Amino acid sequence: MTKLRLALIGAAVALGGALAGVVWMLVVLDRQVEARFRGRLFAIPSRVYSAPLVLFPGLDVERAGLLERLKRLNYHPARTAALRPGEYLLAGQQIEIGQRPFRYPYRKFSGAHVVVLLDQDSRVVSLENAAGQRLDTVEIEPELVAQFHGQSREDRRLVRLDEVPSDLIDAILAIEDRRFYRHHGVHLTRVVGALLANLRAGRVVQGGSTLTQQLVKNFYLTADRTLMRKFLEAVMALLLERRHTKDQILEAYLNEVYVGQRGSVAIHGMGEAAHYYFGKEVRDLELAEAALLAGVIKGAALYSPYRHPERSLERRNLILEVLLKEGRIDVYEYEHARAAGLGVRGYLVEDNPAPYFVEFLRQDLSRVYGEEILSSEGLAIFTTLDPSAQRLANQAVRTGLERLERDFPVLEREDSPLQGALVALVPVTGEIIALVGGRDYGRSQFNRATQAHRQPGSVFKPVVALAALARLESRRPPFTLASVLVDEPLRVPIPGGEWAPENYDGEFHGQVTLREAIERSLNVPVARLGLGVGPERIIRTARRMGIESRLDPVPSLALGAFEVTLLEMARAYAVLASGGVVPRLRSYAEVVNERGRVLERKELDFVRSFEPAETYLVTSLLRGAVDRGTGRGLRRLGYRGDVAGKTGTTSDFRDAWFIGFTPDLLVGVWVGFDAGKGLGIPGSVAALPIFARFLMDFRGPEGTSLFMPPQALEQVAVHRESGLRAGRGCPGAAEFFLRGTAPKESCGSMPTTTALDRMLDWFRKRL
Amino acid sequence: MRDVARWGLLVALLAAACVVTPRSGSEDPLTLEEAAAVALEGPQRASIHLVIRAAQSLEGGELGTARETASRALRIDGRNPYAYFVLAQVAAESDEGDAAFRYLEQAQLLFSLTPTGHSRWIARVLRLEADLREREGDDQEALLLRRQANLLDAGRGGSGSLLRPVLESEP
Repeated sequence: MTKLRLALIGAAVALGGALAGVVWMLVVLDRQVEARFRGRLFAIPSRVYSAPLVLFPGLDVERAGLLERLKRLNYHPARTAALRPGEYLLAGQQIEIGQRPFRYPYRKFSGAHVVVLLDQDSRVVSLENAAGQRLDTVEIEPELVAQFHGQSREDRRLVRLDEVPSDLIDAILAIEDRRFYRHHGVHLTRVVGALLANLRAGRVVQGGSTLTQQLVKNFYLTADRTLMRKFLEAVMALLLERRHTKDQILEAYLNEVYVGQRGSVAIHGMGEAAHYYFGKEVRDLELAEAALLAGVIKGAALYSPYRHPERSLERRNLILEVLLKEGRIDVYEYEHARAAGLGVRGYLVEDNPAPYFVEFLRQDLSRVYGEEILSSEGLAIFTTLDPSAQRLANQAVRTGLERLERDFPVLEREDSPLQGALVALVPVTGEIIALVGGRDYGRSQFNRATQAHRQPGSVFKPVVALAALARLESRRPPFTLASVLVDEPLRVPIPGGEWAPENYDGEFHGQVTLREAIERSLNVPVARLGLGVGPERIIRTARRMGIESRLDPVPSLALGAFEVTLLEMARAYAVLASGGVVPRLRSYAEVVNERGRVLERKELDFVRSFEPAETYLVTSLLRGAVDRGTGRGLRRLGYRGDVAGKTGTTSDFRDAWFIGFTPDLLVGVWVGFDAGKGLGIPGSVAALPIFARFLMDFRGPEGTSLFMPPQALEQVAVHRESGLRAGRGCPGAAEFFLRGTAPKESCGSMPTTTALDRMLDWFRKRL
Repeated sequence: MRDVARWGLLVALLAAACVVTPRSGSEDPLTLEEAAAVALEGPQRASIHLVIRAAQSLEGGELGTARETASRALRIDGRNPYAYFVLAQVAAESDEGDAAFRYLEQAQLLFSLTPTGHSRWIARVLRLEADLREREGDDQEALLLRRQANLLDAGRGGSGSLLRPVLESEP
């Protein structure tokens, strides 16, 4: 009796222990299930978008790359006369576009049918909507340029269940889990069937998993095919179903399921699958497409429409048959869908046209948001990047460097190849529209536009000129464009010796005007100008222009003997191009969260540092440099538009620069070796052709805008040698002056201003 | 010979002055629609059209949309003074005084660089600046700015009644 009692107690304790163990296990598993399901289910990479393309009458759509853009946005040529979203139609001199909906910061665009009428030169003549009403502008949605992935490297677009078409849900349920809405997470008949099959085989050969089990496996467990894992999967599926509705589970499944691979990035969920395979939103999927996606779930590689199109088609048709048998579709729908081709878009390998820009952006954003948020919260980052400009910039740098290596074989080096960088920005707004940080991002991620500190050499001379020509704190500027500078040997004592600058051509030219000195980039007179202005004033000017790098007040400062980045120098030139404002550089405009709320807006911001008339004086020098001076190669290469620019070459030809601008575009180019080996060629040979190529490809050889001299300037004829007003017997050329700063004295014996001159002047002012 | 050429130039200038000299201020567009109509086809006109949309958004109280649209206008034409003016209005509405002053300064400068001088628009700039100064408590400066504005557009059709609702920041 006692033994029996003891045995019973023992059994009860054991049973209780086992029960407690089971309960404990259930509690642990339940917590595990809930921790994930109640928290953030998925890590969504942030998406980096380009700026939108705005079409307007007068725009050259070929140069703007409209068709290429549509293709990159996965617009397809229309298959029928009725244009659908995501399709375009080329017909003679017009392009019809079925625009897709797009959610911009602050506004939602629901899509539209637009007609773009073109002239023979591919310029937009007019824009109309489907009803024939004229439109002033049409916006083509931004391109997805890149994504910021976390370590898991998963691409996913979250979809809500109500966005998923019933065809896709029916197809998935029909092939993966017909009884989904009837079981409690585990389908016993299927489990028993699978168990028997596995026992017969002596290993796990059949799954029998429900959608809930598949979801549990993907969320919480490994892919190991063991009985323990199957047991845990079943238990957790039951727990999940106890706590959540079928719709919640199905929605999670639709967002989680693995459906393909794009390079190193895994494609998850039906939202991303719809984009990846068909270039459309999930809600726009057709029956045949839905069936194909449902078929891919069983094995994304095995049934890949790219790798195994026939197998993929067979499975799609099998699913269509099942849908027909189950009465989910009728015979007409079945036949129609079965007759359709696979319909997948061309296989796209990720092509990030702007890897240096994106990395620059990522570093900028991660300081604010942190890497974790950037790679998991599904932010949308609307950048200032112009993909057409970026592609042209890539091309200009690549072909420019190849040409140099071809023409100067000594520049071709395997170990550390010749490098180049280019930055293009909108001067007034400071928007960076293209950025190339090196020759090959795959080989070197070092960004030579933003990270490399190099000597600017002669590209710094315009800063010296502005220091000389602007008033700054003075009532009058210390120099004018007509000031005469001495170009004779110069020796300046410096600690440890003396500094003796030389001209590029090794010669001295006697007396030259400030204009000639800058246009011809003569070192000696500019060095004298720098000494006359004083290094402190040059540094103050440089700081006002936004140069932040270290600058020492030494005589060689005027010739650019210090180090800056290309981006820094480009920003300084933007002050000239914009008429005196220092723009805050911007690589992005808005950051938007998953729900479309704008988290951050990078406002247009600038500081006025100089008067437009002051900067125009320097701009006129740099226009002259292109027309007559060291930048005249730009004209030889065929650019005819209004442009200002300056070459730069540093000691031993280590760095070659060209920075140039039109009123609406600024481009800086640097060429050199990372290790500082000499190029043996100047900026006009190495960097200028890259600038020319980009400018002409992007804006055309005629340019698009003109510099307008401000009213605070006057033009006076000046005698070159004396720097005085021209007069009888001493003719001169017209030169710009800030009002009130022109020389009053004439070099001629006759009075300079006659009554007629005064009348002419009066009319000039009136005009 | 040189004198002949100079007299020739004088005659040409006289003729040009007759054509170009403002007679009644009608060359100076009063509304954004007028500005768009007289702008050259291309980026300038497209940019002004976007400013019209920005102004409409501003009128509807959608400051974010107005700001975003005006910024897009500047992307197409970075020297569009109307865009800066609308941005200044948005900044003023958003209590961003510093930004508003910067945009106004830029707008004024760009208006002054236009061939017609845009005196009525500069008057609007000055009035908005006066509003902002007043808000800051600088009544004297505000008064001065309003006087300047009145001098600029008095009798030249720059009254509020001719403005589109978007420009109702004017007193």
